[in-house]
Amino acid sequence: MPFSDLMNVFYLRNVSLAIVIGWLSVIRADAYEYEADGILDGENFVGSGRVVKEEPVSFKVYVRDCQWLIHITQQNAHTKYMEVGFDGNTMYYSSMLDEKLIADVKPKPPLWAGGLSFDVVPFNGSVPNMPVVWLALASSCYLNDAKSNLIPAYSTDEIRASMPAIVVRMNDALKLPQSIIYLDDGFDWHLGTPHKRQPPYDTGFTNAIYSVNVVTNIGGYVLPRQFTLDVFLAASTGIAPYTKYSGIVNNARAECSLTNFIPETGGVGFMNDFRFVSTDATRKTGFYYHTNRWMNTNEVEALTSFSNYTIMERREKNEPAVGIVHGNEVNATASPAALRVVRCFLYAFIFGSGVVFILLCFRYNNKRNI
Amino acid sequence: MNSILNKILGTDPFRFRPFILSAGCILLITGLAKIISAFGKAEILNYNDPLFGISFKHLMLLVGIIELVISAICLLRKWARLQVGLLELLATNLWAYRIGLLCVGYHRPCSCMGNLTDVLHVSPWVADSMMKTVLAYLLIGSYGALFWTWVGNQNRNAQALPNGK
Repeated sequence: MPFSDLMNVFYLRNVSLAIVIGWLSVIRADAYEYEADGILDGENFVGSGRVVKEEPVSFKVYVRDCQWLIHITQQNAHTKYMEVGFDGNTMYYSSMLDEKLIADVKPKPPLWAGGLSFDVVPFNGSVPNMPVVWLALASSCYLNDAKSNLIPAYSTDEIRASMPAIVVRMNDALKLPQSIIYLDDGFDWHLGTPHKRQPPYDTGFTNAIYSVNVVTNIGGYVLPRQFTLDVFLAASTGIAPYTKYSGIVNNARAECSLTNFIPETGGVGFMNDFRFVSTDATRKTGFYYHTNRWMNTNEVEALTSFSNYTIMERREKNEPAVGIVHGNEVNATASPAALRVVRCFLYAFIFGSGVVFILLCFRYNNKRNI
Repeated sequence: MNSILNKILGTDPFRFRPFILSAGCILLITGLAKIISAFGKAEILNYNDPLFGISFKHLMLLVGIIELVISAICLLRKWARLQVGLLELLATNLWAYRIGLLCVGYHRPCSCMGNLTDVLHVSPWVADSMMKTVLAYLLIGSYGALFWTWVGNQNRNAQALPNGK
């Protein structure tokens, strides 16, 4: 072999090696794992200055790249624990009822319940505590893709539309959010379809502010140590506080003890499967079935009741969303002035009809006396 | 005393008795459901009603008590005119409340049966439809009874006039 060819082979090998090493180092830079635990406090502002405190939530978060699992427990709750896991494609919800709750119930209902969806942002109905924990500690991958148009993690709406957001992220490889300002775009989605809000909220308003107050550095990763989320509501009296969450991370380490991010099932229970919901649905109707394991979509489609579900889903998908009632002076979309007028009219009507009723009683009585 | 009350409030015939009894039973159920729910722990109870501006808990308690009182009058006494009048008053006000909800853009199901819907595993929308049917029944029944009484009175007056001459 001529010397020049030998040099070429040597050169090519070196280049290949360099490419492989470079590629691996890029993967290494992107790869991350950590786990953290802490406490989340929540309070709801329910109008007239009243504040209802939620039971504090203890959480444990496990993250490896785009996979994560959140385990939460709550004092005085119906559930013993709740877990939500994401394997990069599917969201797995798992909750175990407290045995004491059904101690006297016969026959015993299943304690475990599960849920499946293709969501990328977790959802927890009317109490979005777990999604707030996700936002603080496991949303890095989602933020990489979503950039500045985010699904509000705190939303209790069945259909959660993305909204513009001003996102500032930490300055490390992990890039967890440091602050996010969610900007309502002037549309109300609680019925599953966009409804223009009444002035002055039709041009939008600051819907929520997430901020990290204290950070901690663990193995080169910057994790939040204290974080808060303030959610605001367009009420008839003006922009009003709606919910406030405050979290504290007690422990964190730059290793993840989990290898499987799919929660374990807890025996036979009800599964509410949202993977087959139409993409254009305004109401999400899940498929309920009994199972003791996570089934893939092909297995679920083979179930006998699946055809009935698809018929029902198609029938209900354009109905208004079965939303969760929230906020002070819940979900009245009329302007404050219109609300006052209707309220005055109703009070006058009730009072007037009562007076007319009493007068008629007297009139009838007099007539009889005559 | 009883005869005086009967004179004032009317011991009208048993013509409307089936309607009054059924309405009394309905109000007994919905009134109890509201009162029981008002003492529950549902989160919605802390929130304000969109029209009255008071919490759902207090509103449900208030309306539940009113419904129980009217139900007791309907089921335990025979004052037909008062019973029909009270049913009419309640149904009209419930109807006005629903119109008010529509006017302010509230499209969620009315929580008229409280948490009973959860116990019965009935969706809020089905329960809402049931309550609309009940409201229609009370409205049609009570106004029908009023109209019937008025027609009866007119006939009686018409028959009485020639004799009086």
